[in-house]
Amino acid sequence: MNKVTTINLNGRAYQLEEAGYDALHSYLATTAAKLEGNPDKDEIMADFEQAIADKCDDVLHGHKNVVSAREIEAIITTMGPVDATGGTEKIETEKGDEKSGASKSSGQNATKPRRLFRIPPGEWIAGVCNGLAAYFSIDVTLVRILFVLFGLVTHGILILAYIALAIIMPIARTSDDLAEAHGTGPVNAHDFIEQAKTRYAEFQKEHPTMPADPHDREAWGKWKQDMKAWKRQMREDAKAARHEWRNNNYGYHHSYTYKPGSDVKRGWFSRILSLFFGVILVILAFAWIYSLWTIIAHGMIFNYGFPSYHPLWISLLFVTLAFFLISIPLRLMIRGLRRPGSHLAGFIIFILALIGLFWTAHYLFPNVNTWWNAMLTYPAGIH
Amino acid sequence: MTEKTQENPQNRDAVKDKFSPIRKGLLELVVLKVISSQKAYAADILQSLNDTEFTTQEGTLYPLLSRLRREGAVEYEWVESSSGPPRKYYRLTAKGKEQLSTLQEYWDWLAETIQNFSKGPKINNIKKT
Repeated sequence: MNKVTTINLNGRAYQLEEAGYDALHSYLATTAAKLEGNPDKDEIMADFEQAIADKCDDVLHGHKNVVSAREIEAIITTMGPVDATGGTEKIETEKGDEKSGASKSSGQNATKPRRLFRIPPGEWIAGVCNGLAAYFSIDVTLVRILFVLFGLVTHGILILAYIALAIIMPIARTSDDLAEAHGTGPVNAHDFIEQAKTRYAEFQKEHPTMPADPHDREAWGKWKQDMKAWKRQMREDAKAARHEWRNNNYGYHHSYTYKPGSDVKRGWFSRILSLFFGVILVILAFAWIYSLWTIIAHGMIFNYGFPSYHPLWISLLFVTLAFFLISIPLRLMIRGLRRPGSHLAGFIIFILALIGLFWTAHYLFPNVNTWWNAMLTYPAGIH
Repeated sequence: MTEKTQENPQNRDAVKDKFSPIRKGLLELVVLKVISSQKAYAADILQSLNDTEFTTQEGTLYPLLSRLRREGAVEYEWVESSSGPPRKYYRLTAKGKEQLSTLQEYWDWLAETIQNFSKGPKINNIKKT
């Protein structure tokens, strides 16, 4: 029994086994990526979809209304890889050899010229920090912290710089762009598998050899230790590989590569909403850092003093909690807007968190308390 | 010699490999020629190429057709099909016909040149006469 996915090929619905869908999806994604820059890209893609649809029709009949994964693979094989140049390219055996030779010899450490791209997967607002982090090969969290810190020092002028960067920097749309942004790294599943293979081969080489003499206790002890170290190394490498894979590819497979027909385009409304929430998020982050500073320096949040009997750490905790309580659901909501389906959950969590926050504030601050009471009695006061 | 190569499949593959860039380069001529006889849609073109040395896949044909269309050598019209959605039928334009004859002439000339080599180097010919 296999799960079935329905896809839309040039306006007609086809049901594919999920494995077949994945294969077709990545085939079309590679095709689209290769055709990047071709003025007829959309038309050629439509032709491809139509050809695939025709081939699906050939295998469907009567009671058979699902295209199996194997059939999809056969279809992809007959379609063949796309020749993006349309036959205009020079005979490029040399060029090709050079290219593959270069990528083989220099492997993952190859330093190609990098470009600044905005990288949408994992972005908070427009992917500027993500792109900068990729460009300089540093952790994106660090870039964000630096951004917020410098933003505070410059009284928010950096926000303008951010907006300018968001406008200037192009978005990384294809896996090739992404490779350019990182200047390195595996960009598609094939490269990734190749890299994993070479890594595995390296492990094999380094694998500690068992001592020849079964009674040499010292040697066995050493072997055990070596084995432990080797396993640890392997785990770390696997983790690093996963991390790299996720950083490089997460989101691309699902939201950024070409989707057959059924592509869900983000409407302007959800774009504006997610931008709006993104800006709120940054303002909150600024407010959080600023309030931490005011608490330490003046013992109050902005101008509100805490009741004196509260120790400093409680105030810091409250502010931090408040920030995360609001920011986490905000981020969930932004993600929900990008990947339709989880809208409502994010929104509900957001509202619940807001209520929770208000409730704690109600106990902490007398001001809130009086304001709340005034709110409650206000309608009654009208009469 | 051709008989020999056809008898020995391994040998034949090697020869095929050697000529693969040439076949690739000739594809445009071949496709134009296929379309020239009658208007055809992509699957027809593939079908007529498939039993020959010029076996081609969609992945190669579609970009080629789109380039030819952009260059104005071919044009297409939508034709309703009894089964499924309408299909794009390609045919040659005047420019395409011209291009086809230019390519054909060049290819003929190439073949002739190769033929002439077997008559021996020119220097020998001069000495003889």
